[in-house]
Amino acid sequence: MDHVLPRDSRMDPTRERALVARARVDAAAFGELYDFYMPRIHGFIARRVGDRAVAEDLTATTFERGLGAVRGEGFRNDAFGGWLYRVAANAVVDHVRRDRRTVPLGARAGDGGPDDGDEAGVGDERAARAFTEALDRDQLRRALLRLPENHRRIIVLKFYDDLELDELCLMLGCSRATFAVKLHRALRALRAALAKESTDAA
Amino acid sequence: MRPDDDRLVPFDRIGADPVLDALASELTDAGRRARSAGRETPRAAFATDLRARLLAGLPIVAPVAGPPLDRARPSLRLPEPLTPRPVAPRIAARTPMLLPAPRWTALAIAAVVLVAVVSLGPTRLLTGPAELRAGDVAAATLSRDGVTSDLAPSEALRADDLITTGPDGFATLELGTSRVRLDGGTALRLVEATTARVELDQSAGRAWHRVGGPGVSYTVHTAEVSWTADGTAFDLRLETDPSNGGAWVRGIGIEHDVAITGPNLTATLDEGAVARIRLGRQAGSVADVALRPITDADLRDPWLIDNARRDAQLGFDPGVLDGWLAEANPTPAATPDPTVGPSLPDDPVTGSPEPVVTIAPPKPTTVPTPKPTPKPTPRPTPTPKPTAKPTPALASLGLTATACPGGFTRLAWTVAPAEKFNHYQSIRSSKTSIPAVYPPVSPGVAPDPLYVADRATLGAVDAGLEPGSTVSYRTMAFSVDDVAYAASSVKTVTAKAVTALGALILTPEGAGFSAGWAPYSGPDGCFGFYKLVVSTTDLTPSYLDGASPVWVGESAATSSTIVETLDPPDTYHVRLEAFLDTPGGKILVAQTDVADIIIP
Repeated sequence: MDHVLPRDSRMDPTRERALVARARVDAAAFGELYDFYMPRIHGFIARRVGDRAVAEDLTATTFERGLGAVRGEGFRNDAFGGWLYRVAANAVVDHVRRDRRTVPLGARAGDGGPDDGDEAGVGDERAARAFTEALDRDQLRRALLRLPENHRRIIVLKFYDDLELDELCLMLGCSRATFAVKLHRALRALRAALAKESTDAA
Repeated sequence: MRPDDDRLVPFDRIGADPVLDALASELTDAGRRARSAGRETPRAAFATDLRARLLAGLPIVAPVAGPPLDRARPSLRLPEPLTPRPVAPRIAARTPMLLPAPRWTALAIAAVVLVAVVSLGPTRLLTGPAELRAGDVAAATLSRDGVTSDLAPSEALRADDLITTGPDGFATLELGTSRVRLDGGTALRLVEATTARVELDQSAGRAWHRVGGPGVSYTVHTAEVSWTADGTAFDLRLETDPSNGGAWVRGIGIEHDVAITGPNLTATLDEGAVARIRLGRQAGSVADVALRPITDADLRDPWLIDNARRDAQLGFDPGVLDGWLAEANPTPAATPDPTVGPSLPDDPVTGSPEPVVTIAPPKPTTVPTPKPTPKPTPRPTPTPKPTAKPTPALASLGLTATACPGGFTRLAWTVAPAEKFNHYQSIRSSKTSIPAVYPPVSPGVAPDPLYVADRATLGAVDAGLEPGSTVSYRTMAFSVDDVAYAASSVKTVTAKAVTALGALILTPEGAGFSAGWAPYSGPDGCFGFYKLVVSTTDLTPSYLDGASPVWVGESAATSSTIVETLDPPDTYHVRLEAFLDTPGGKILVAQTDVADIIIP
């Protein structure tokens, strides 16, 4: 079985809505949603947590919630994919929160580990670091890492996670027009950071 | 300007800037490379096991069943036929001799469902759990499975039913929490109606559509034009142009927006707007759409007012008709109590003056009813039922919204119940009606700074508002599934400009100066600290622009200070500023005029 679907393929929104509507009573409909989104959601989570078992656990949690939601009353059936990503992001944050309550002996918060800082940005920080490793230019790597978290998060979600526009809007809680503004500002900020990196290097 | 403000007109093309375009391409390539690294690919065993576990509790519907929603209107089928893919075998070829218990369970459930599909038929099996029934009815018929009969009050309905009202008839259909009221001469088919989704086909006449709260996707097809809403009320009327026999549909947005789609047509019917669209266009032709604001003449329509009144009695927002209800009906006590006696006719037009709208009333010529039998006297409902609440009960949150000088609002709310808590989100809107739903209903927006993941954090600041603009807020607590379970009432504020503190009085004092000003006296909670800033080069120094602070004060009541030393000799431009420190940065609240002093 191959769960690696073409990354650029998008589910038709009308079909997605219809599948969600049927998923409460039709295993095949939910199965199709699962087949499409599972690799994506797993990838999204895996980029944010280091441990494969944790990624699988959180992926399972996300889809259990997804199934429960579509079978429940009053599910807002307009952007299932974006909703799943949001649940996945919340699951990552919840995991980090739980993880911090159980600090292993010999470790303590604030030791300067990579995940210190804002909880909501922990997973994104890890994803950002992985993304920078794929960048060709050192200056661009440094520029991305020095961006404010809000700009960096948008760039990572857009270019690394490859989220669809509606999914991005639902993740960020904004309209399409607002997202366009956010993305434009993030890229401008990256360009400015890149220019500063070039200046510093000179 | 704020990045999360829907009023903005964004740069919608990165390509307008070739440098950004190249940067975006570089990032896209890097993202593709990073994703293809393979480290994120799920293990096949995990994917298979999880799939089996999730689907084990679901029935398997044979593909031959097909979607019942498509039968009635082939022209409105989905872009591709919705034939669900059968569950594909995930582990091949060898069937174990003895299946583990969970698989036996799944197979048993599947077998039961298969038998049910065969014996009951897919339509009955797939009908959602929403209660579908007629409400008050007069002179209406029900066509089901090719048989037409009189529609009785409280009669149960199901998908694919066609309800037709005679010229003097009416009908209320209760579709879960949603409801639709049919005027005389109306034909409406229930394409699909579950608790989550309602799809109707209105082929004639006039109907008032009330969508029962958030989470319900509600679509009405009028020929090739579809109207989709969520938590909304709107009125649709099909009309025939007597001059040429052409068909039109008129929609009125009562509460919130309605999306209109059709061939070469994508539009939004705003709350308080009227759309008139020609039907039956040739394929590929340009849509003939007229959109205009609603007028007083529209709003005087007794049909609209009475429907809005009935909705208001059910707890719905009357939307644009809010101000017309009291005016049109000063004696609401005339409303019958459904718990003590039979229901009165639901038709608000019966016994009322003719509507003011002068458009020719629809003729029932296109109504596919074989025998419209007018019944001027509605039958009493034998067992009236209390009306269900349209939205689930929400816990209450207290909310205060303080408009602070500097174009920001400080929100403070009470703590939400711990159970279900995932985060708070406050919605900002230019309208005073804000449904408790996420994503927000336009024009509502959910600014990032108003998302709070900590249950004990009971406040947030919304900055960047245009001074003088009026905005409303509603704070909600959401579960992890983004379902609101607690909500505040709506609070409205008018954004304020930065407060002018007037002149800054400077007096030389040794190598420095003393400064005096009128202290800040704005709302509590909007002040954080003063900064006295100086510059030798900037005629309008500001801390936010990099001017050097020479004094900081934390009491709003302070009205003077002394700066003992400045580097002589020079001319200093001096200003006092007041700020509030927020998670989003420092916000300028008040400032004095700039004063100059020469240090010899």
